[in-house]
Amino acid sequence: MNDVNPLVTANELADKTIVENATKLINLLGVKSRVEQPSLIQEGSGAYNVGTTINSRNKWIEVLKVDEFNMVSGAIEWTPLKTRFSNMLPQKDEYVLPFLEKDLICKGVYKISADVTENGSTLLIQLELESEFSQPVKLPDLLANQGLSTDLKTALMNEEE
Amino acid sequence: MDLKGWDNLGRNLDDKLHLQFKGLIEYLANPTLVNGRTWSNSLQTDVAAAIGVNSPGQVRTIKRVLEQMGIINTSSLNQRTVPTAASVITSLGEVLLALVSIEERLAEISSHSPQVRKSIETMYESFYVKALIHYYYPDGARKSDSDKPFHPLQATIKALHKYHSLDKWEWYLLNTYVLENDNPAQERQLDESIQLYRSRQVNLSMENVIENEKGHQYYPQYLSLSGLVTFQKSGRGWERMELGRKYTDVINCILDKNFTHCFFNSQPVQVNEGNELHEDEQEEAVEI
Repeated sequence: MNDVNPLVTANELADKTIVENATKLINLLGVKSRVEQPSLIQEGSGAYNVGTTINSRNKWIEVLKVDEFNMVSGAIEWTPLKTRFSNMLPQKDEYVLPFLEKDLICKGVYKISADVTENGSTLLIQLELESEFSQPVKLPDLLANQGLSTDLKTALMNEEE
Repeated sequence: MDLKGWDNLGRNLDDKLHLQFKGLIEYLANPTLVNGRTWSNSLQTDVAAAIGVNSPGQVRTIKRVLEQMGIINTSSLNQRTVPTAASVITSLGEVLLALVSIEERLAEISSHSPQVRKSIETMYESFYVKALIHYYYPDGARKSDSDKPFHPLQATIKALHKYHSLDKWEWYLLNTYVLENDNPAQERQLDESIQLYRSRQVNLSMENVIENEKGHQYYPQYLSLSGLVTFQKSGRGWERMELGRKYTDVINCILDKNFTHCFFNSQPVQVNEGNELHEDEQEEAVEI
């Protein structure tokens, strides 16, 4: 008598395939667990893509501020800035995250390309920020921005120090 | 020679059904909408309106397809208990729900990445492999001729393993003669009829099909979605099917001589609600 139940084995094989394919899909969509972040900043064409994470359960958004950028290696040093949002996920064009970088102002989220999972794990999204080379924004002007959270303002002030 | 198809549920497996399933689960997840009702005509009528179908009868057909695919728990929608989303959906159904939600979200953010699209299709394919392992006819492959439970995937894979491929008429011969799994007398009849057909001693056409003339559409469509069986297309239809090569391990399990014994022993007792399928509850079959 064969001890192996072919129905159980067939179901296990099918489950394994579902998990493998789901994992591929999830990786393709960029879903990572909290411990696997942060993503690296990448150079984009005409805009700098900034690695960000949003956590829907704890309601915070994290943006990596570029400290030193190298055209060969990309971002060499960066600082995570974290801010909270109230009860809704930020929608396209809704959030303005002024962003201080030497000779570079990034402002205005204009593309959110993915969403956040609901089970507490986070989905890495690419916030593409409009960028332009101009004079740096003065810190007082930035702190006066009504759209900035207290956390982000504190983080910026700490940066300034 | 008369040909007959296996019975079918009169429902295509497509985006529409996926969204109807999601609509059903979302409706049941809202206690205010369910309002303490069991699976009565009143609840079915409201669900029909919520998911965009015309009649409670169509909702019952959708329910039956989802049950037979293992997407919702069998008999969890009944006239004795108030259903909730959690009591109805299976773990396989949760996979489908997640897939449909991802697709909807990607459509909202206008993501058209071919790589993501391909990955979602592959995910659906593996989902349907699992669903077809579950899928069977509890009351017989063709109620007019048999009342024995029947696993169509096992019968199909066994025939394809033996004959390497089946064309449309050989598929109807399988449907006509094989109504029980692993029945030597029926398999002998199939063998004789295929020999006759392959030696060109009989000619077959749709005029020979006297019952379930959509038999070459609905279930082959399900098979095609799973990738367990591949189809050679011809015009709007298909002309030949053979075993797919991506799921050899699963196919070998289904070919195991103990498979049907294990399968039928694992099935819960079905509650017959006496809902026969009416003509107006079917939808037009979509070609593969």
